Amino acid sequence: MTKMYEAEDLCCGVCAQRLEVALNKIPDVEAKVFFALGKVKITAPDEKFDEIFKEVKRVAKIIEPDAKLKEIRS
Amino acid sequence: MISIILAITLFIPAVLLDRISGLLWAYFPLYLASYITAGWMVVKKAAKNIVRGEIFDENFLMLIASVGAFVLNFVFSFDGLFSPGGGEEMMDGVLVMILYQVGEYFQGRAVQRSRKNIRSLLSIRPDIAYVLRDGKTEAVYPDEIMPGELFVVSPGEKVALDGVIVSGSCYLDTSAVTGESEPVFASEGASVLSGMICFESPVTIKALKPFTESTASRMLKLVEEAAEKKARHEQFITRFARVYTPIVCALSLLVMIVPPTFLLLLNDVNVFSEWIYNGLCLLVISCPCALVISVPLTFFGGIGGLAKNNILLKGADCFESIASCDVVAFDKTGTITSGSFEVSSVDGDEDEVLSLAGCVEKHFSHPIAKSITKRAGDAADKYVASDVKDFPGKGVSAVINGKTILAGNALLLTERGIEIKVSSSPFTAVYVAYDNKHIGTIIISDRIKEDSAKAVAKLKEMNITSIMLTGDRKEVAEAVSAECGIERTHYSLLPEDKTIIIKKYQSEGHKIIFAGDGINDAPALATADIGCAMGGVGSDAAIEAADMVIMKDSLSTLVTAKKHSKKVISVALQNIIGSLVIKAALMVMAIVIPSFPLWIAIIGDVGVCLVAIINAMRTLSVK
Repeated sequence: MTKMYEAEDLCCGVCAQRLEVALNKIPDVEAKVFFALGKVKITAPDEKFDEIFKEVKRVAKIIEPDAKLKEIRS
Repeated sequence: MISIILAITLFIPAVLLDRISGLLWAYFPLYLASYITAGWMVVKKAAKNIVRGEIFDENFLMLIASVGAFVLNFVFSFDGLFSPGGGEEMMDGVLVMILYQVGEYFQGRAVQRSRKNIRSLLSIRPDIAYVLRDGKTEAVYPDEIMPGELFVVSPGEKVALDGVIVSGSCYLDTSAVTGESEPVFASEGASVLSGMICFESPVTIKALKPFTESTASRMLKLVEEAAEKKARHEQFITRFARVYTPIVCALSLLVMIVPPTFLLLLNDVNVFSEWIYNGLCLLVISCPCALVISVPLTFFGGIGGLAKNNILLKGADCFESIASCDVVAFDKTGTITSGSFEVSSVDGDEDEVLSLAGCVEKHFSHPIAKSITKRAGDAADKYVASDVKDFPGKGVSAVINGKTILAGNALLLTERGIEIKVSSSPFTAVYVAYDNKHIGTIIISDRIKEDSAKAVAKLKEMNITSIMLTGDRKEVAEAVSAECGIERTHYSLLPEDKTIIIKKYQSEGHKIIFAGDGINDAPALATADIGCAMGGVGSDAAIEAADMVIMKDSLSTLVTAKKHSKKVISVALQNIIGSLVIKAALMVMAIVIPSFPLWIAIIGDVGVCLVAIINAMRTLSVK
């Protein structure tokens, strides 16, 4: 399952890259961070998605405390 | 924002107390309070990053620079602390934090604004659609509608899913999808693409594709994914930022240590503090914000701007290739020409020839027959044809008013002993004979698109050579080339021949764009430096192979793409070079000028960043 999230306060290209690298380190997660759009794309197995997303949120909060993730539809 | 205002309100009395009274116990707590209000987030972030081993981030730099200023004040100007103006470095330290936060605030605003602009360019999908279920309309998210379901689109709304109209009729604004500015009338049975806007009256549409596979979603996906393919400039910036900050930090450390050590031999302790102060300035300047924020925005703004003009780029790396290309190779059918046959001229008595031929041809569905019937219009009903016969590969015959009419190639007439005047046109000629006499010739050709010649001329102005690669015959290819002003023509080619010719040009050092309709040109699209698929996101093979997809059916878009790519590259270079030059100048000043004010360093740093972001936004507008 793939979901898009808004990360409005993602401050710069370097932060975006840092976030992307950190999120991809989480097992079973494929993450893409689009700085110019302020969006984060997370792909993870359906059955574990909710659990994984909690971890994603936790990691994101450590790396970029400003970039709160908000779900957007497709 | 509130913390910034609070910090400033604390800062002003602190400065006044410092300057006027010089009472350390009064101004120091105020400075400290102001510093903490402005900078506690920075301190928190810097601490977190240090724990994670990411030392050189901007928060850390600001922290060191400002704390350094405080320390400097206590260590070196301790004696002066109780006289008016004694907290000068302290003031600078607080100012650094306040200005940094003000700058961050404006940067954040600028980034959000540009994101909003980019998104508004891409807002071709509706957020809500009205589905018909059990006879009632229901507002749902478009991705909940399944293929086969019916949904209603009211005037002024965007179509959410690709489908076909099942009831009602309306005018469609198709400009977002096809670039056509004229509204198109659509009624029952007409197919509609998502992203089109309905006008005048509501229509009910049967969805044929799921939301995520509909045209608008596919366009958006292409554009969003384009951001992943980073341009060379952008990769350079990210790599540069990684080494730039540590290097400047090292430099500032050197500035703090080396010159003072020499000067210490001269027994001048005061210069020590000056050099440390200058070193702190360097730390502030070493922040790479201007580059890492503005360059990605430049490229993405460019992608968004082109998308608005019906040009979808698959990656930011394409800008460079497009900007530097010097040869454009066109496929003929469907690219330079419209791909549909039309009567281009008629020899002989035009009305009579067309009506006689039309009355016969209307019984057939061959493209040539259709083009004649279409041109004849009502005249095709003027006579009644009987005994209609088809001679495949040659033409047709019939009987009108008891006399035989023939319409077909030269052979069809000469076989029957009719003398003909052979046409000199390179295009398909349909000879018409009535009552055993050659009465006229209808010339049929693939219509050249209106702006093809104009686009080629404009490309030539930009020193770009246009060439044609076509599978068609020499005569036709050369005639079309001549009419459009194309410089070199390669004809009678098989699809793989096109690839070979493109490779030949590349081996001669040319950068080449290939523009084709994408149906059987996938190898050529993939081989060219830039493969440009004309005519929409319909075919997966074409999108897969292409670097650029043009939704609009016109070659002028290539000129737009070329011009815009040049603009994007030059804005990116302006931002990179401009930021670096200003930073270098600031650095030199910070080293050379004794006690170069910290706050000028930070204003310079933040100012460059804001200007670069504003400059980046120029790539959103396409001319």
